[in-house]
Amino acid sequence: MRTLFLFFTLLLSLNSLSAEAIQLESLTVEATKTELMNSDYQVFRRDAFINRYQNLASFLQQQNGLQIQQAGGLGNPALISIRGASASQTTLLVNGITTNDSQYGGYDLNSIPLNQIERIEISRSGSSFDLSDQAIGGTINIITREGSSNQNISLNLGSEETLATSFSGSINPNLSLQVDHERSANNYDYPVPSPISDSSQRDQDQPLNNADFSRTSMQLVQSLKEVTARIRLNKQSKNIPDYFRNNPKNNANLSKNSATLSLQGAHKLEHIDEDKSFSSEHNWKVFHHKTDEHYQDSIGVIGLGKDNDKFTQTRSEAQWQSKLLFQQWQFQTQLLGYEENFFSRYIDDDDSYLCTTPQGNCDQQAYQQSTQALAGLRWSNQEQSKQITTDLYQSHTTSYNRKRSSSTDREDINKSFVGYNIKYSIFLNKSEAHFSIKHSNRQPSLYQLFGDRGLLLGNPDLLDETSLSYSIDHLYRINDKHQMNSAIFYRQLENAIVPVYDSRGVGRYENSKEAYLSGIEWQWRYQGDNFYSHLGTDLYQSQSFDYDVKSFDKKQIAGIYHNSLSLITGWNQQQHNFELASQINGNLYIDRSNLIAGDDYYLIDINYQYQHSQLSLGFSLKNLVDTQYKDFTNRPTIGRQWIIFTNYNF
Amino acid sequence: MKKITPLIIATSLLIGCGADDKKDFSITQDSYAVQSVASDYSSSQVAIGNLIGDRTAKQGLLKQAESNFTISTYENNLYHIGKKNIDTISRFDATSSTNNSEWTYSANHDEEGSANVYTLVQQSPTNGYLIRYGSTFVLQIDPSAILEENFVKAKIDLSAYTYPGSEYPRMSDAVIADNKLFVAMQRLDGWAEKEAYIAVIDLDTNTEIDTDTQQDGLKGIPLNATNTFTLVEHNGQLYAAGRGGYNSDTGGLDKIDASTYAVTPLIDSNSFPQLINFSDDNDNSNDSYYHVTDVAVVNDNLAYATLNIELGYATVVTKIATINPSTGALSVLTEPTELNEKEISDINIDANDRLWLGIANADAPGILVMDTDTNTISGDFIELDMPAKRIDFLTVQ
Repeated sequence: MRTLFLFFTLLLSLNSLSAEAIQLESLTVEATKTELMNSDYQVFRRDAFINRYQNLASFLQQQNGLQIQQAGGLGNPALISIRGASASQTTLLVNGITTNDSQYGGYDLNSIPLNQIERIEISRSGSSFDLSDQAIGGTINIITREGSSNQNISLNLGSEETLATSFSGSINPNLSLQVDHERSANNYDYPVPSPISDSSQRDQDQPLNNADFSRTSMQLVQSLKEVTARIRLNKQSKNIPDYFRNNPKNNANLSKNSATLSLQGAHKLEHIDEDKSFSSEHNWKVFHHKTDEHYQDSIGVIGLGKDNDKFTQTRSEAQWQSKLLFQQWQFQTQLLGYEENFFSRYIDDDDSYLCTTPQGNCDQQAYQQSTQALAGLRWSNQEQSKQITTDLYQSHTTSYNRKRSSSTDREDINKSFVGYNIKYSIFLNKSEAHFSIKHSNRQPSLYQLFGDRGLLLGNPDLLDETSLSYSIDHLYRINDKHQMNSAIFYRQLENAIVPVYDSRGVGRYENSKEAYLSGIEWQWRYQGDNFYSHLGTDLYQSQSFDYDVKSFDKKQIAGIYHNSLSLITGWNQQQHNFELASQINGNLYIDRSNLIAGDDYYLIDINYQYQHSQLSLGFSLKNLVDTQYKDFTNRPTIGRQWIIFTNYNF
Repeated sequence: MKKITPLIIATSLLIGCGADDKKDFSITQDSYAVQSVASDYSSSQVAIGNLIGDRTAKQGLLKQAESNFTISTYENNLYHIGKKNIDTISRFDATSSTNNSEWTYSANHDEEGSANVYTLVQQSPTNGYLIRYGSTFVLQIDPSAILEENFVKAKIDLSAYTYPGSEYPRMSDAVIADNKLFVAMQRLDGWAEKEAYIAVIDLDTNTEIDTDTQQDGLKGIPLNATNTFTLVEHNGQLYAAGRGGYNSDTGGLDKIDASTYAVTPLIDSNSFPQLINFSDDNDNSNDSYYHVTDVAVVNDNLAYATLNIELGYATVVTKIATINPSTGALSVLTEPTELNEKEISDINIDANDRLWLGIANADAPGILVMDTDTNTISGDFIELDMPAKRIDFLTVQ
């Protein structure tokens, strides 16, 4: 709280300075980004998603090459797979800062309400100039809103007693506030495998008990010419349903409070003389994030026993980026450093502090710090028809964790990685093509390295997952209304981190040998005066090689739909917008041994929006035909859902 | 709808119309059945093969997207048991189909949590017992029940054995001998091992027998070895293998007289000092212990036990101990060499007194069969796709 208070003070003092702020030239790099819709790098502005989707996950679900992985209803973390990579191989940035935590590697796409988002950037093939994309699969960057001249309120109502409301407005031209609240009972009908009311009625549809979710978040943004300060506060509570027996006494709950403080600045310098000119841009960011989680299961319905556990995680990060633009050349340097702490406390466990039982709780104390230096170069010919972009970076990471069975000893790990991106781009009148090579890694999380509790132990010898990806992205503008995107890629993956259990049922994370994944992504987009349509398909092929585990060897990578087809058609007529989105997904294996094929599914969603002056109304029907299928976790999904949107600017 | 039709056609082309590969399989001679589990616990399947002759396994039976499955057998009946948070039991007549169950019933009862059935012990075609790790009750069942409402016949309360602070006594295995049901209970406190017990149930009355009327307290038989994993019976003698703590002691093997309830320790922490490597450096991650995880009895003078060697928290290898239950003589098998450097997940004795060993090494899982009169390997290594968790036998009348 003290930090928060200090930050508020700083923020307000910045506000008082704003009136006297020196009028320096602002950066304009964003302007060109929004025009690019190559599959290699896409930018979606606010009007593409606001008032039409319930949350970020439901919007991204409709984009080519992206697969949302969210088990259960609202409030369960939504993950994303890009180009067939696992969710953990995807990086989620918020305002350019990584949100994947090193403890579990997790993130939640829906942790930021759509109303607080100004822009969404998606990078697949990797580059540090548009968006710092060093992830194996790809990177999504969420740019949150800054100052707005309008006040805005919205109210959404939906099935399962879902309610979402938001307010955004400006306290003064430089200080804006957004407040969001959403909640849902999540009590959709679920085929309970063994209902507690009558065990013999297997898979009986029952409204889920104890599935409520609520989240309140607030963002305060102070924007100056060269400095932006943000505070984001988030408080959420998710009840954990008993998907097996639907026990009405179940009261398991995970509550989470988080606070994010960030400052970022940009400064541009220009030097012009008669025959030489150069300009430079300098961006910096500092960031601090703290999350407190409390998991309670007082009657031991969900896990292996009763739980009353607290987890605390902090992350501090600083970034510096300088770009030098000199005629056809751009040079870039980036420096990044972060440190992260994690603590777990099992309050009702008498001996968790001893940390002696492999399958028991263990109070943890983990730490990780990392530094990274990047140098990049971009060259364009004078006609701007050819461009070469290269990045080279080195990261060094140190982590340690309390050693099991000892309150004093610790395990340490030091490692470094050299990665690179190389891209050659050709721009013609009607088309552009990008040839990319990306060498990336993903560090094992602290949990995977050192273990925490339960049936998975740590493995300090784990190596980074590394990948080498080759991709060709092509954009062809057939005419003013038609556009076609296509991409072909091949990714080779080494040392994928996977759990492996021994004969006792005690597991640890291991490096599997190698895998490859290749794919074709294709999309046709038509944008007429009143009609638009997007038709896209993704076709992937994969194989993993693991000589140490026979049943995993030469098998298709599990958890990813390898075939998908989507069609979005929409009509604009005066104040009305109607959209029909269809999606087919198939060719999924649930397990790495490829014994169990997942369900193929076919979904139709409908979105409608009506705009009258400052008022916007709309509705969305998800899974219109109520397709029953099991998701990537082999769990039955939610059936049909509806939501009504209202939005008013004033 | 016109818009939808092309998409449906495209779906068919894109996804393909997979042919149903669920061809049925049945046995024609005495067979083994194996429950195997993927190394990441994401799936499981059952394999079946002939007991003699060509033992090649028919794999891919009863595939599941969960690992929490086990099997029990009774004559030609194969029971496929879903354990924690699955809690179903399906019965197959293996001589007619391993694809279509005769019935599938719930293992849960009343408003309790997941029953987590560990095994089904069958006394006769119409009487059996569900040993439920996650419950305080044994369920007496009628395996021949046509209707689920007739499946459960009675409940046998063993809640007295619940360790203080725990929710259930953790029944792990059971056998029937001398018209009595012997139920082994781990009685863990969380993951910490406490004194294990065997409760004795008179099957005529479904009441518990007081095995030591001279002592107050629990009526059952206290064991020397903790954390009981396996209970078997041979010729009026019970053998209880307890693995002990997860990284603090060795467990052991007890012999229990089914009539007098006298307990004789056959293996304890002093039995194989050469397999213990303990250093008093306040770091148990570099200490090595053996843990007795399974036992199989050939006759009154020969039994085998698995000694899981664990260094810190990792399984290193499994050794096979031979035991003369009459004399207490012990040794560790060094032959056959095929057993060297193997992780063994289950052992069982077939009707021909051959020892079946489930090899759990993930890179080459399978089954080895050993002649117990010569301690030599019998037949070819039976290759499996994934490690065996439990081996049982089916008979054809």
